Amino acid sequence: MRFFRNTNIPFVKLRYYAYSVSILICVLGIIGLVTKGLNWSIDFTSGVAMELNLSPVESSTPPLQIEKLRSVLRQNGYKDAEIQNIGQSENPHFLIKTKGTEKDTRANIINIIINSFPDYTKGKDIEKDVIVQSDEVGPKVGKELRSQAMFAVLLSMLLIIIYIWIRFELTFGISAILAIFHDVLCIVGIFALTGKEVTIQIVAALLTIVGYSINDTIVIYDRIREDLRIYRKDPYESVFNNAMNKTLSRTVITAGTTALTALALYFFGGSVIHDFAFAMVLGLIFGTYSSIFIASNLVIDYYHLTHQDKSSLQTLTSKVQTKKR
Amino acid sequence: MKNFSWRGASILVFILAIVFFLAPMVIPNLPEWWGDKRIKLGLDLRGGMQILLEVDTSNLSAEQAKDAVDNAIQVIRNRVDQFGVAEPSIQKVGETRIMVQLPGVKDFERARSLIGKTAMLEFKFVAEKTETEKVLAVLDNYLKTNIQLYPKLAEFYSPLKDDNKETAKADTISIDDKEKVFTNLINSGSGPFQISYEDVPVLAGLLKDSTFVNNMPAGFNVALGQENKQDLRADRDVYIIHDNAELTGEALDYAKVMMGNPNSSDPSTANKPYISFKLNRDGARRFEVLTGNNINKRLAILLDNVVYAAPVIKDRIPRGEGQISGSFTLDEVRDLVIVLKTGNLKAPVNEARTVLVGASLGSDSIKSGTLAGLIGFLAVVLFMLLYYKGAGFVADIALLFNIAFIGAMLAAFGASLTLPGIAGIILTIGMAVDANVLLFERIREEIDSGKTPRTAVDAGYKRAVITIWDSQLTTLIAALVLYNIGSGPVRGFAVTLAIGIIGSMFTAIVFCRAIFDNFILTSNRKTMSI
Repeated sequence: MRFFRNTNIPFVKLRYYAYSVSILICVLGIIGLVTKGLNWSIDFTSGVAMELNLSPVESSTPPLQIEKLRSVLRQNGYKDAEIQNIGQSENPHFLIKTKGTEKDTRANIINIIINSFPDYTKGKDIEKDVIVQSDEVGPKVGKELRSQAMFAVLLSMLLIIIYIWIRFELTFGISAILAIFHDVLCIVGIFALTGKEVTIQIVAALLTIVGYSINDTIVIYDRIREDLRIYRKDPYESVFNNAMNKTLSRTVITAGTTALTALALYFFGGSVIHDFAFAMVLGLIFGTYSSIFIASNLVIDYYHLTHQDKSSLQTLTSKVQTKKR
Repeated sequence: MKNFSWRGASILVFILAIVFFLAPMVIPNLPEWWGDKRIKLGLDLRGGMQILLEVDTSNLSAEQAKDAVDNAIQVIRNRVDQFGVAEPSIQKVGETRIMVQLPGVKDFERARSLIGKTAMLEFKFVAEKTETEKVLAVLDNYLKTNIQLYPKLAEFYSPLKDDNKETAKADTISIDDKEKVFTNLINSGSGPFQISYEDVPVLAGLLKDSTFVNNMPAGFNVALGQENKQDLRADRDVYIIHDNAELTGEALDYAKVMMGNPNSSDPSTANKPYISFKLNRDGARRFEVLTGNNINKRLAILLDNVVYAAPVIKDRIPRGEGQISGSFTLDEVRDLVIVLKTGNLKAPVNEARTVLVGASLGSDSIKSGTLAGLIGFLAVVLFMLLYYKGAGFVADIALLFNIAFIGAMLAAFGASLTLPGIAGIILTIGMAVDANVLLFERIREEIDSGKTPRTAVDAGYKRAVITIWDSQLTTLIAALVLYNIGSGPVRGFAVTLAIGIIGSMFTAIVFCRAIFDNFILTSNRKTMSI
């Protein structure tokens, strides 16, 4: 079995369409970021998130309505509490989140619930049977983590530029990073537009995407470098285009196998890992797309802008060639 | 093996490492040095609690701060050991933080208060009547002139609020009394020097306010009594005390849990758990002098600035023995004894982050993670078999070894498997075949250009290996950065990702090559299943 045998898709020619699509998505993403901002989880904002099992004590009692819980918490001063029902209807699990909270918020909320809903808590061991999980983040830690996460994404990009600079050329490195920056912006933009929560796990997914997308890009660059050496006489548009086509099946297959596993996580991995898998799937799509359409084409356009003839490109890669031999 | 080769040796080491580190999970009753190395489950999978403590070093010099943090780690470790938690982990994070992980703990609140208690035991005299009057007069006067600074106290200043209790009181007290803000506050309960449950936070806020504390007459302080465990909404006692500690917990020799005799005539201990303590020799001597010189005064026993008892000294107490009784549950007495025995923290600690995970959530996560992993794995394995046939089979074997390698390395480093870690393994399954895909695509190209299988494999490897290095190293860079920012679960993800990358590079470059060379390309084959 074989997909993509001897393809000849004019990737280089199609690049301006690709650029327009990417710019459009990025602009949408930026609009989303500016107007709605990111929904940072309590990892970054400080606050309390807890999952409570509030199934009725007596089987005859009807399940607790989310509206009741919401109004009780509102009356007791937790106006901004976000409440979600994440269990089945007979066995409701409630996710309660309050951001930027004071000390003892968790204990206070639990006391309020115990006092207001005895039918759902009485006789239960609160710590074993009611609290499924809870996370309480102080303001200092939250703020630190946010700057750490941003720093990490930027640092990994910087390290990767340096690596590609050493192994290829600075232009390649910068083009690769632009492509990756585009991937990250697209995913972050989608998170802003959909209002999905950005947790520390999403940051982990972003960094993985950074690594994955650069991996794809490098495979193509590597082939370009090799082919530039072999097909010295050809115009570099065609060398680039051929290299992209020759690596196409590998690019798609690797994206495919990774997508198989990411989708398995998305559908079967459980609620905790759901958004992480969602970010990974998005990242795979954008990462693969940008490696093919953006990263290498940007290098071409850079040389269009700065050089008139093909020889200059050859000399730029000659540094690596001589080193390799 | 006829000739020694580095490739053969490295494969041998690779397989031996996998067998060695995975054996403890399959074979029971291995010797301890071997069986100890197992994959631990992270807190998010096992349930338990994790607290990131911040040592408050704001009032300490750099030298004292370091000392206080080290002391806190030691003290907390001792407390946790005595509390009885299997495999606790207590680590310093940065300069002033301590990460405490207690897997499997179910009594969250108990563990929490045990760890976070400063446990400063102090003996201080309760102020006498004239002293108390003086202190109250000063504080009332200060609050009266500065009432605008304390909006929460306004109701104690103008008692004509529609608060029933206050209006009832207002009928019996003179106008002058209404201005005694502080006196009114600490008498808001049903008896003298008793504060009502609702007003406790107001008083606690005042005692934390530095300007208020600075206006306290020198040498005196105000302390709350212990809360009533049977009735949390009951009034609490308020004490005006001398600020100077006559004795502290450092003079303690031992403390133990006692159970009061049901027939005891003393109502404070009858059929109730209490703490019995003994002071060390020096402490006992000082205590003897102290009690002898201050008969009929009240001596308050404070733990972390809360008065647990304030008995009147009736006689000189010679041997330095005493007891702390009060409204305690047996668990509380046990925990208090632990904190008294392990000593006090040199600086208070605050919870910067607290994560609690119930045991059921963890097992659900393991189930769904395993299911997702199995489905992802089968999908990838089937795809490789269909797409690359024989070579795909080789890649699938390599993939199996790679997963085993991740497990083995997790066990070897004593790293914990977390839910993001499982996600990392699953994603690695998808990504790890990349090295093989790169190779196989290249070999196919070489075969297309008319080469024999052997030369095609040689040429394919020669080119693809460079690409594999370049591309996988960048993913490794991202994993390393992630490792450095992440904590707990996310770190687990970075670790599995990094191990997976290294494993996949090794299996693709060395392991698969060996299979090709030794089993598939043995004779001068004309074709190859790829």
